[in-house]
Amino acid sequence: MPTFDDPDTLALLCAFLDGELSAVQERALVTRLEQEPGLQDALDALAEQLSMTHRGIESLADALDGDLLGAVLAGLPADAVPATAEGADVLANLLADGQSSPDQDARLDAFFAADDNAVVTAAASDALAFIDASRIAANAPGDAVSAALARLPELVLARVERTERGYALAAAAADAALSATETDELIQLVGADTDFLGLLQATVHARIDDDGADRAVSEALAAVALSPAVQRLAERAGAAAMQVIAADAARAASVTTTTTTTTTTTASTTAVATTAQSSGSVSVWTRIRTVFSQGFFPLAAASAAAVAFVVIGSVTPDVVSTGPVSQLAEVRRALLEVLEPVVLSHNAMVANAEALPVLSDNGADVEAIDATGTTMVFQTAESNITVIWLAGLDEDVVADGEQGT
Amino acid sequence: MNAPSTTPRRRWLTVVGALCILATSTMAVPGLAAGPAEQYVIELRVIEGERAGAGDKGGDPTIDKRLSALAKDLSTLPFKRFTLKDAHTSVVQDGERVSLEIPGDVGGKVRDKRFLVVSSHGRQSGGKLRFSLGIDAVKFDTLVAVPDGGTIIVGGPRGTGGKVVLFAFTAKAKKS
Repeated sequence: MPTFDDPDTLALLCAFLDGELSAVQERALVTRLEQEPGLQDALDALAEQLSMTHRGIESLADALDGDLLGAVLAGLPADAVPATAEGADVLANLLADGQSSPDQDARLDAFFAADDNAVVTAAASDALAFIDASRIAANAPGDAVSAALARLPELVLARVERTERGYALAAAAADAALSATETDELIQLVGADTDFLGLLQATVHARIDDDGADRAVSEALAAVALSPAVQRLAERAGAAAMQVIAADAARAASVTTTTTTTTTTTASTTAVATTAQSSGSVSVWTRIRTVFSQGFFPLAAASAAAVAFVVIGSVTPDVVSTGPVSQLAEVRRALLEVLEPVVLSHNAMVANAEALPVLSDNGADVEAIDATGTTMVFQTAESNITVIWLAGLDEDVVADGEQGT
Repeated sequence: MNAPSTTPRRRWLTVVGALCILATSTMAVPGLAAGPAEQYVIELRVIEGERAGAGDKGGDPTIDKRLSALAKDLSTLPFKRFTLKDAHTSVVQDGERVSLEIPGDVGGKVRDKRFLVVSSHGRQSGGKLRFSLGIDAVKFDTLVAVPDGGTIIVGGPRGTGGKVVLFAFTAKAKKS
């Protein structure tokens, strides 16, 4: 077995394996390898060791779900964990798993308190919000929760309240029940420049316009929610979610298999598994699957929704756009594009239209009528068909029949 | 160092967040929270009614044979003749709108096109199908709920030659 007592020779072989030798040096080494069988054995052994090292690193990366950085950060002294979003994420995971040290808890608390580092604070808040929601959903004991978590309800509540208020106002807008003050409030709340919220905002602006825009608001909200753009967005989001969840599930299964296998084989891979566990990098899928399997789905879903508000809230800029009244015409044009109905006919005669049968009792409810002329509502005696007659439009036409409401 | 947004956890959270926001936004609109939207077969028949003049005697009006199903109901209206001018059957889902141009002019005047716009608004709690019918040109809008398969009639706009336009609207839930 070759030895590497000669540091220069070892350096030379390493440089050769790394392709760092010049052509002249390479030729000289090849000559030596031909003349010194021991050197060739040494080179082979060194190559094997390097290969094992590379495989070990790859195995480590796989076992850690590619989160080598997280594993490294988890192993650092608390003070050395960098004040970055990644560092906050790792500390939050350790805390949630009850594997954090008091120093690491203190470091995370410091992240929370860091007013000058919004990214870290937001990341720590997001991570803890999700983890805490999962914990609550799973009804797990929270003995590892530090004082930092005590601030979580406030953070979540503030953002959730803001979002919920926005949608409550939007629902009121759909019913044309917004006051002017509430309209302004809604405009400010939904000022973000996204497709949906932008359209929602446009409908609110439209309501400010007169001439029966209340109805336009109601219809616009319904049309926006059902618009092909939103539908496609929902479909894409749904498909993406399924892909991510499936990938997480596969990844979790892979980690579990690797951990189980490697723990019983070699010392090096056992170290890998241990590191993976201590890093707190348990898949989100694993946590959620555990939660769901315990029958806490509704609570988990509610918690996830609350956390979703936190996540969205943390990435949505608080843009406030009140839009000058002079832009209303443009907004209304955009709305008309959204609301343009399908035109069935332009006076085209269809001779062979297939008629639906007429019921014997067609009693209908007229829930609302908005008309400028005289409007009569009555029902025919034969089939109880409700007739709405707009008598004030042209010549007066007085219909026979029972006067309705 | 990876940006936070590239980690699987954060990506997952973002996707779930987007779904929750979409779900919440959908629920914010009344009537949209329930599963897949129901579809409705609607039939719109445009009927021209010719008024009975002062000298016209009473008696049964002349009704287009294609309106035979509605004949008895139409005969109670004060017209001497009913003619089917247009008819369309369409399938709409909750929230969808369709429109139909109203035929006719007044005294040879060129007027803006008039449309009857029908919007579906799901079901009443009692199960009736809710629709709004509107004619912007005459500032008319109504919200009605008809029984499944039921018919209502809206009349009044002037058609050609002094005739009056009536719409017979029938709606029926489409079986999936």
